[in-house]
This record gives sequence, C-alpha cells and structure tokens, in this order.
Amino acid sequence: MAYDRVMDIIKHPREPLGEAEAAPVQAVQGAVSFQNVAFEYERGLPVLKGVSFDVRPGQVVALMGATGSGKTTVINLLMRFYEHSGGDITLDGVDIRQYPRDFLRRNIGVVEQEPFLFSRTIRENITYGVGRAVSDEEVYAAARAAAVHHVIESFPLGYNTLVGERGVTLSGGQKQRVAIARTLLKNPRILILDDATSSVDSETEAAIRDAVKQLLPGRTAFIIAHRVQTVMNADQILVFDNGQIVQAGTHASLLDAPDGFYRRIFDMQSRIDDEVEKEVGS
Amino acid sequence: MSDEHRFEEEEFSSQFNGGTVRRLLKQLLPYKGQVALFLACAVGVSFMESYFTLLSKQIVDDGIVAGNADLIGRLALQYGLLMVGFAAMVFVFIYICGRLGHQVQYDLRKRMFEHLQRLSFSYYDRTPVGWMMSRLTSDPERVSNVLTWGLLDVTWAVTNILVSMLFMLTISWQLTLIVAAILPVILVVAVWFKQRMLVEYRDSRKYNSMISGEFNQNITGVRVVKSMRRENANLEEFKGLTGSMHRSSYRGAWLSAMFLPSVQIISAVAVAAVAWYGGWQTSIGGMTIGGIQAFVAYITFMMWPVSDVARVYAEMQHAIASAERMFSLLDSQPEVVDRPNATDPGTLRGDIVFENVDFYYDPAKPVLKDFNLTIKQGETIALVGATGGGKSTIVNLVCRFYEPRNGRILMGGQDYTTMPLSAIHSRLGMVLQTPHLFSGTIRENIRYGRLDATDAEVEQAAHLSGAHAFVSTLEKGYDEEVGEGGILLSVGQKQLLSLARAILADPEIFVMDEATSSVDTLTEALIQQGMEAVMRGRTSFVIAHRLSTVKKADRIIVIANGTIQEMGSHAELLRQRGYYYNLYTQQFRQELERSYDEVFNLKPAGEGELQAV
Repeated sequence: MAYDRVMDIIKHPREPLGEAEAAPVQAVQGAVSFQNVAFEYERGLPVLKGVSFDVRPGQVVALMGATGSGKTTVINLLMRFYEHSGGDITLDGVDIRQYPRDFLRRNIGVVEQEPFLFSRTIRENITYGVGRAVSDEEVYAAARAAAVHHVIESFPLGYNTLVGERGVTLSGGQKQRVAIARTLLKNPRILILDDATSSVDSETEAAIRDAVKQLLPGRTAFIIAHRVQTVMNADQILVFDNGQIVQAGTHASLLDAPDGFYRRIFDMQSRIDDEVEKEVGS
Repeated sequence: MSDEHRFEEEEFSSQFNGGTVRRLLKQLLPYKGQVALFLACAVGVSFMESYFTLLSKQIVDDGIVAGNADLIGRLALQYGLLMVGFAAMVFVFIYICGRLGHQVQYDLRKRMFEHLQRLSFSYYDRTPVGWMMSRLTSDPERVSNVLTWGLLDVTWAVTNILVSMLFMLTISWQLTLIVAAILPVILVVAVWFKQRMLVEYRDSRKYNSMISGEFNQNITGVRVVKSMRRENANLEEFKGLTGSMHRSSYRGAWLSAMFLPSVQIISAVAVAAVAWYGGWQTSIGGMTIGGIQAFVAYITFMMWPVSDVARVYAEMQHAIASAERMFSLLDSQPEVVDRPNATDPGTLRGDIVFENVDFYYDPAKPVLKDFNLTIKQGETIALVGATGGGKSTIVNLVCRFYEPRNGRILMGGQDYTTMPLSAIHSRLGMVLQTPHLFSGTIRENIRYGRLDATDAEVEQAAHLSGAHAFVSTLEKGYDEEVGEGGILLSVGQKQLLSLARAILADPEIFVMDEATSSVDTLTEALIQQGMEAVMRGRTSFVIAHRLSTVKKADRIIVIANGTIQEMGSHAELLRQRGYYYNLYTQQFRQELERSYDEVFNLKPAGEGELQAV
C-alpha cells in the first residue's frame, strides 16, 4: 500500500527542464506571439479558445477580465507550466516548445499577487533563484529600487531576519516588494506582474507603483490588472472573457467602443471617482 | 539557512550543573515516601538477584557436588520463597515509578502553565510559541523519565554492582580485585557509546523535522521554485539534509550495533582472567567449581547494570539541559505586577489621561514619546494610522498589558499603577481582530465573558451583539461546537461571539480591534449593531478599519510614529485634507469598488445586469 503510493509519485512523468530541440544561443529579445492558442486543464473544458495577440519587445501588455476568464492561463502557458493544446506560441519567432523550460523561466520573471516567501532570511529570499553569488550591494540596490530596503533595515537583524513564524511576519505589500526585489535581481527580459495594489494602504500602493516603474524599462511586461488606472499607459490592453479575447487595443481606442467591457469599467471607475469626490469634497 | 535559528532549543549545556541537579531532585521532595519505597525495592531486588547467584553456587557446591539431597530441597524452597518476594518488589517499583513519573510531569506542566499565565505580554513578545510548547511538552517528560526510571535504574545498578562485589569477596578477594580493575574500563567505554548514540539519534530527529519543513515549503511554494528555476539548487540542499540525516542514523545504528560486542569483549577479558586464575586456584584447592561458575555469572551479568548507569548518565545530561530551560521559564518574572498597597477603586469610570507617557518595547526603538491625551468618560475613540505607528501600543497601555516606561496613565484621576491588575482587567472588554475562541460550544464561548452568567443572560447578550441571527441557523444552536480555535466559524461570526462575550462581561472600558479582512455585508451590519450596543455609555477604543466605525466615533485620532498627527471629528479631519483625508478617500474608493465587484465580473457581452446597479 505505502509502497504503491510512493511509486505513484515516482512514476509520474517528470517535467523535462533541460532538453529541447534547439538550445538558444542568442539573448531573448522579448517578442511574444500567441496564434489561435487553445488549452484545457480537463478534457472537454476549454479555458482558452483561439487566443491570438502579438507583443513586440519592450511593450507593456495589460490583461483584464473577470476571475476565470483565462488571464492566468495565458501566463501559465507562457512559462510552460502547462503545454498548450492548440495553436502556436512563439518567443522571438521560435515555437516556445523548442526552448528548454529552464531557459524560458530564466528569462521570465513573475511577481505574484500573494508572493510566496520561504522561511529563510530576507536576504536569501531576495537572492532566491538568482543562481549566482550576489554581493550585499546588489541586494541592497534591488531592495532600494523595490522600496523595501528601509523596511528591512528597521528589523533588528536587518537582512538576516527570518521570514515567517520564527522571524517577522511581513505584510502583503512588503512581501510583494520583496518579490519585486527578487525579480529585479533575476533581471529577466520578460516580466509578469499580478497587480494587487487594491488590498494595501495608499502609501504602500505608491511604493509598489514606484517599485514597478523600476522594473518595467527594457522589458516586455504582462500586467494582470484590475483597474483602469493601472492599464492606461499600457501599449496593448487585452480584455478576456470566457477564454477569449473580446477586446484589444489601447486605452484611447478601447474608450471609443461605447458598449465595450473596457468602456464600462472606465465609466464605473469614473462614477466611483465622482462618488468619492462627492463624499469627501466640500 | 543557519540551523541555530531553527533549533536553538536543542542546544544543551554538557556541564553537570550541581545546582540544577539539586533543584531537579527537589521535584521529588513531596513524594519522598514513595521515592524511598521504590528505591528500597530496587535495592532489595538487586540484592536478591545477586543472592540468587550465590544460592545457585551453594546448590552446586554443597548440594549437587556433595550429593546432599536434603540441602538441595531446603535451598530450593528458599529460592522459591525469595522469588515471590522478588516479584512483589518488582511490581511495587514499576508501579510507583510509573505513577510518580506522571505525577512529576503533571506538577511541572501545571507549574509552568500557571506561571505562563502570570507572565506579561513582553515575555510572549520575545519568546517563540514553539519554544514554550517544547518546555511544556517534551521537557517534563524527559526530566521525569530520568527522575523516576533513571533514578531507579541507577539505584538498582549501583546496588547490584556493590552487592555482587560483596558476594564475590566472600568467594575470592583476588578474583574480586581483577573484576574491580576491569569494571571502570567497561563503564568508561559504555558511557562513551551511550553519549554518542544519544547525540546521533537526537541529530537524526532534528534533521527529520528540518526535512519535513523543507518538504512543506518546496511543495507549497512550487510556483516560485519553478519560475525561479530552483529545482536543482533545492535538490542539492535537500540532498544535504537527507544526507546528514542518513549519516546520523547510520552512525547511530552502527554505534548501537557496536556497543554490546565491545562491552562483551571487555567482560570476556575479565572472564578469561577469572577462568585462568580461578582454574589455577581450583587445581590447588583454593576454589570450588561453583565458585568459578558464580564468578563468571556475576561478571557477565554486571554488563547490564554498567550499561544502565552509562545510559542514565547520558540521558541525565539532556535532562539537565531540559531542566535548565524549564527553570529559566519558571524563573522569569512578570514585568507588569501589582504594586504593594495597590487598592481597587471599585470603578474605572472617569476620564482616562495619558500624561507624558514614554513607551518602547525595545529601548532602541521608542514607540511613544511624551504622549499626552485625555479621553472623556463614555467617549468613543477611533484610532487610525499605518501599521506600527502606535495604535496597538496605546490600546495595550490602556489595558495595562504594558505600563508606561515614563509618565503615567490616570483612570478616574488615579494613577492606574496604584490599582491591582485585576481592578483593570476585570472591568475591560475586548474584541480582537481575529477573536480567539476555545474549542467548546458557542454557549461556553460566550459565557467566557462572565462565568456565572445564566443561559438566559448568554442568549440575551447574543441578541444584543447580533450573534443570535447566525447562531439560530445552526443545527444545535448555542450548543454547536465551534471547533478548535473556532475553526468552524468565519471571522465575522467569531467577532459577533466575541462581542456577545464582551456584552456579557459588562465592562467599563471597551477595546476593539476591527478585522481587516472583508466580512460579508450582512455580518458587517450585525457587527456594527453589536459594537454600538457595547459602546453605549462606555469609554471605548477602536482600532478602526471600517469607515462606518470611524465616522460614528466621537473622536478620530490619527497616530503615526508614536505621535498624534491629526485629531478631531470626521468632518473636521476631512476639512484638514491631511492623512485622514487621503486614507478615507482611498478606503471609500475601495469599498465602492468592492460593492461594484459584481460589475467587474459581469460578462463583457453585457446581459443587462449592469442596469441593475
């Protein structure tokens, strides 16, 4: 019994990290293309149905849509956490299945909504996954850029403070900034950000926004966004619904579609602005 | 990752601290009668065991070899009778030891728990929960084992060795000298083995718990592991841990395997010496066959008491370390204590005044400096501000969980340090952010507010707090179990129960830390209603996160960096366009967004739900 259960795990096919047809020699430029991509986690339950878009190197792409509309799946496919079942995904014009997973993930950085930190020191969490020796100066610089250096310095043990039960409990906003510092050090060409500033106070929100600004230049960025404010300056806005892109364009072009989802979110947010103004203005 | 951080509690001082040993033995003082009885039994058993060997010698030499059947009969009868007494004594010492062991554990746990309840918050701030848990669970067990079974084994073993030597002396003093020379060698070797074994097994347990921790993190954090390509690095770290565990376990197993043979070989040397010298003596008529047989039996048997002494000695070192840590807990003094001549004023009604209050948790980091504030009787104060700004500190000081380092706090015109702690705590109602419930029924949890409350009073409090609405939907109503820590209830429901508890306690001062996590609209309205019920006529402090609470407060105090940044009513503060204005605007926006959430999740195709808003 116990043996069978152990073997169930061991026999499960491994995720191949290294092998690929063509090991890339050039540095990643950051051009991402989805052509008619389909995916299903469970047979018969498609979560992506013919998704297509093109991203040029250095562009900022905002993904919007309700929970379960397919935004996160796009990210999962790009990282090759799952393999798409139809269509083509290319990076710099090459099918991503031709890249070793290891190579892809080295070039893509993720800042999640609720970043997972390990019960290690803050320094170890920041240097986690960098894969090379990092000097203290580099760590501090990354933490400063992520607006979390002074927070860390305020702990008695500084960067050697343990995260978790035996050390400090970091707030959601602090965790996110540690994750941003971690991603800055990793220095990926492609960046994925889950915008979660809605659950933090305004000072933290500003700090995170500044930290994100440090991250963006020179990278292709995908931002999973919930607010018009976040996406206004994006080069492309993709609105997802039920596994499909229902709207694509820039802030200006999407506003012109009067019945579009984006327009309605925008109106809603304007209405909120008005209500806020009415409540506090006098 | 440095192991010291995670496993500092495993460190132990290897010195044999006499003071600690004496204090440890004192734990047995209340039971000295029982201890004396089981030790007497141990001595008796040990004596008889040696005597049995001597009896066997007599049966062989004087009975069988001499052909004296009569004597054999008498000796056999004696043997049988002694055996009955022997069995009785074995029963007594095992029974008493088992009972006493649990008694000692019970005493230690009870004393530590009592002491922990008396200690101030500052102790809890600097002591990890896991450390306290180990003191309360594993340490008493380890200590009581050594104090009972260890003491028993050592007494038995030492008696056994001494008595055996005595009997050996009666047979041949020369041979006894040989044994006496070899005995210390066996003892030293045995101690060496036992200590090493204990260390290896302890290490392997330590690595085992580290491995569990690593498993846990690397599985829950799999997205980070994969997106950071840490698979190989993690595998290396994991290999390091499992490798260490493997090495410790392997060494432990190897040492256990080597222990007996090593000791046996040394005793074999003794046996050989006895056989050689004894054989020569027999040939010249100085010794009997039975005598040699008895000697060999004594030597071979002596391995066990020696090994027991060695084991207890090694365990003793660990038990002393455990004891030192337990005593450090028992010796720590509560910081907030009743002053001599403290008198209960009978009520806390009146203004609460902070007068030039300084406070810090850590001297290097002052939290409040020269803080002054007057709160009127019956006023509701909303405390707002960023985390770490000092809101909770103010509440902690009001509750006298901590006392000002400088300056004073007056309640009803009287410095509160002139009152006993009970005068304050008994008139204080508190609702925490995530209220702590104890496993038990809903009724029991509400009654925690005032233990002598009747069922009717409990239910009335539930009605007032707004908890009744959800309690009545439960299958067993007030008799429904809440699960460990209230796990079966939502945060909102826990707050409602906690409010009912506070209402039942009928406090003079009410303190509430509002939940930051979102609570459904209906529950929130109920909590609001409950809060109003509690606050009516009572001086109240709310660490506020909800706008409705803030707006209704008599006074809003914005705290940052340990000072009052802004203070006034909602309207006044909005006019100032400062911190509060920004905070309120942002929160108001968030609440609106939350209420429009359904809209964000609407089908973009637009099926008309939009119009509903």
